[in-house]
This record gives sequence, C-alpha cells and structure tokens, in this order.
Amino acid sequence: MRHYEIVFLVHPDQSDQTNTIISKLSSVVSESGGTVHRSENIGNRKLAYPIQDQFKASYGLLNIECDQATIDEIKTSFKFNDSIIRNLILNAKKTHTETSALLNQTKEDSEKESYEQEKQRKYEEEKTAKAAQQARFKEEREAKAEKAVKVEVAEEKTEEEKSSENVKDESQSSPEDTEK
Amino acid sequence: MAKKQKKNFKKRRSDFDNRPKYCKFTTLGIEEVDFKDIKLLKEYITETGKIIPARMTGTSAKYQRQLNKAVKRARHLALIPYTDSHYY
Repeated sequence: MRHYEIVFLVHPDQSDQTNTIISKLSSVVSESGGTVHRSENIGNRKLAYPIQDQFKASYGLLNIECDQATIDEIKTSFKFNDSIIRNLILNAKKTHTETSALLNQTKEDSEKESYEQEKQRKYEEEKTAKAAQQARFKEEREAKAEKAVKVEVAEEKTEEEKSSENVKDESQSSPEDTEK
Repeated sequence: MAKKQKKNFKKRRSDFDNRPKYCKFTTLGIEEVDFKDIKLLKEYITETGKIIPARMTGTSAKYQRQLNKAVKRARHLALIPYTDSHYY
C-alpha cells in the first residue's frame, strides 16, 4: 500500500463528469481495500496554454492509498477515457488531508473575477444611465430651440407682412407720382 | 578643445537583483514544494516562463531542486506556461 496523488483535467464540454469520475475512482480504490484521503473537484480553470484546442478545463484532485494493481487499473482507465485530457499520477510521501492550495487559489480567482465583472456591469449601467440622461437633456434643449425659432419666424412673418404692406403703399403711391 | 564628456552610466540593476536574497522555503519551513501552489511558483519563473536560477533568488540547493520539479509538473498540468508565445 502506497500513497499516491492524482490530478486530471476533464474536457470542458464534459465538465459535469468530474464528480462522477472522482466517485468512480474512489469506489475502485475502496473496493480494493485502499483509502481515499482527499478528493477535490477544483472546477473549471483557464489553462496556461491550449490543450487539444481547449482553453479551459475542469480539474480533479485525489489523494489515495492503494496497491499497485489498482493504480495500474486507474492508469488504463485514464488512457481509454476520451473526456480526460491530461493526468498526473505521483508517489506521495505522506497523507494529505487539508484543502489544497490549488482549490483555494481557484476560489480566490473566481471571486475576484466575479467581483470585477460586477464592477464592470455597474460601470456600464451608470454609463448607459448617464447617456440616457444626456439624451433627454439634449431633446429638451432642442425642443426649446425649436420653440424659439418658431417665435422668431412668427415675428419675422409679421415684420414681412408689415414691410409688404409698406411696399404696397409705395407701389400704390408711386404710379400717382408718375402720372403727375 | 572638444573633450568628450564622460557620461556616468550607473549600472542599472533590475528590481529583481536589488531585493534581498534569502531562501523563502527554509524561512517558511516548507517541507516540500507543492506543484499546486501556483502563486508561490510564479515568483520563481520569469515573464517568459523560465525558471529563475538559484543564484538570483537565493533559494537553497535542496529547495531549488524541488522547485525545478514542481514547476515542470505545474507546466504539464497547464497551471504555468512553458513560454510566453503559446498561440491563442
């Protein structure tokens, strides 16, 4: 019986399978008389580089104690499972039961990301609200300007009418002068 | 008499060189360098993804060997990039 540490990456399209894979492996281990010290579903993480043209993957972590035959079985199962992109099996020196640094860090990262997304969303909302307000102000201003123009036009019209009347008067008066 | 003025070029040392050298692992009392602790490992790789030599960081030989292995394992699991030129 030896200690092993297993990490595997699951294809992002089958990320729901991570839990089932973990439970399957732990059942295999317990059936053969071994023990599972730590099992974690770390969840989706962004990969540092694309693997099989995938940019994200779901991580699973297992710390187990079992014999050679079961670890061989697990290795073959990884080999013939298409949903597992990559795996790492290590010999461990002792039992690890505390939550891993990877899980903590992914949680922190996801929290940070969600916080930033919320911030961005709030900022955009404020932006749209401001834009709407400005549009409303603009409309009001334009309406006022239109009103002013209408008044001016009306005044001009009256002036024109007056001037035209004057012209008529002149025209009426002018032929009389010529006649004289 | 146009004498060439000697410019005083101070040797520019990067921030990395200027920081005090000490082995973080011995001071923290870490038993074994964990390949899952990405935050810790990222302190010991350059922007291009190379492992920084122990003579720069001051890490003791024992832990540098462990660090070497941990970084390589983390790279295999795509937790840390191999280079900065992975296509995206």
